[in-house]
Amino acid sequence: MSGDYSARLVQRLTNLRDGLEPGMDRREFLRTVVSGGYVLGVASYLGVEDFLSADEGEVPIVTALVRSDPDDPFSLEERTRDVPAEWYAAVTKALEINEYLATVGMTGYLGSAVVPGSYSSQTASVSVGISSEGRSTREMIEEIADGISINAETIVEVEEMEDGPPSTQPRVATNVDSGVAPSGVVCETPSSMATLAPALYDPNTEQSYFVTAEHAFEGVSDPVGEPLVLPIDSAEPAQLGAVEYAYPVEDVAVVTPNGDLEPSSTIDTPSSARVRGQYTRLGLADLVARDEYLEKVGALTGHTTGRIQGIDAVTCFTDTFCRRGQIRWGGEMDLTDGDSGSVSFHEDPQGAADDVLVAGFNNARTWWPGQSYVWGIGAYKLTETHGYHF
Amino acid sequence: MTESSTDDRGAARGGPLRTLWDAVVRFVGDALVLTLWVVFLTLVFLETAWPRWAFYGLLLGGVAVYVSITVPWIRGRSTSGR
Repeated sequence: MSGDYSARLVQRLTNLRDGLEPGMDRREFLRTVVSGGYVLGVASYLGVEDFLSADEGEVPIVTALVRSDPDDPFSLEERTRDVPAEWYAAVTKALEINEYLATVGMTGYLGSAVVPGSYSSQTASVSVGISSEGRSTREMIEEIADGISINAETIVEVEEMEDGPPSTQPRVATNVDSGVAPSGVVCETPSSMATLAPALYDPNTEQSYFVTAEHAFEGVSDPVGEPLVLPIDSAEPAQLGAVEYAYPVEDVAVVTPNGDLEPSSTIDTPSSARVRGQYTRLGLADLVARDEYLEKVGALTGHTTGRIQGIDAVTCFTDTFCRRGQIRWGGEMDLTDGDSGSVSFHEDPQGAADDVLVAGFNNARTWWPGQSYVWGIGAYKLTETHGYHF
Repeated sequence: MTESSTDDRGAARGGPLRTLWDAVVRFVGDALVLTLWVVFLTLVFLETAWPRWAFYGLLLGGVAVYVSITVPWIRGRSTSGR
């Protein structure tokens, strides 16, 4: 195929050389041919044909891992959905290119995210964030992108997050008589407070864990062994257990229950949601394509909903490393200190009325002008890297 | 194209090392710019679902334009002897 194009290219360039630019010498002609071959090679390496000549019709995708028995967290089965093949080709290619960009990590790269289009548009875009320090790259992209919306974002570096003291009282667990701790309420670390996430399960050991944000254990170099405490309304706080594993990149701290209280899959929403499973990467893409919203319950901001702004995002805004597999959604007013560790979720369309599927964690939010979202690791990414699931 | 009546490239001015260095810089620069061009076009076409022929037309057209734009720069740099 590329030979065919090369032949056409040579023909075109010969015409160009003979007709338009009689001054073009052999060297420039050769340079043009080599460059043409090079771009065709790069295009072929990126696999542009995958989406340029995608078949029509539909393909099945796995959208979620859902419990067949709501009370058995290990009875996960795959849920599938048929989606347009052209949309699927565009989204998977965008996910691949997003991964390339993160791997190459050119100067000034601060992160990127995939934004799937609607099913009818059959498109997907990659939103790239570029630091204002990487001026040359930014200018180059802006120059090329002039007139076309390619989402060249400029991120203004700000020294500190401008968070005042929380103005509202945190949501505190009210009733733990049943022996389980609800999620979506405040939990305390030795140095800070955060939101308790729904139970996380390890399918290998069939162990259930309490979970919250790793960064809530600020001030200690290694949070492993640190206690996690659940304040209870008009009662003594309950010891939940000690941190068993801490994952700074994923920003997840996993706590083994000490026996007094068990982690639960219910989220303390006004209607008390029950976690029935989690979305996959493509399941999140499907939610974006259908313009569905995510919800969360944070200990401080409470129950909020918002639109998904990007999936499989890479964020290098904080720390010295980049975080992969992040979800960007909602707005920066949806999260404040103390809401970290809460999960984003969406109702399970095929489950019971209260059933929800988890999308991912909420760990941070934008603090620079021009953008507004919350981000955190996707549940699918945590499953991919460490095996845990909701 | 305007100031290239005498085709004296770097060899006469800066010696063979200078020529080699210029060639390497040009090669790496070309590869970088052209890679960005492919990635950029790919992202645009993912976002727009424009037809396949337009992709290859713009891809190769861009290369032709890029080469024809940069030729005077290279010549200008060589003749100015910097």
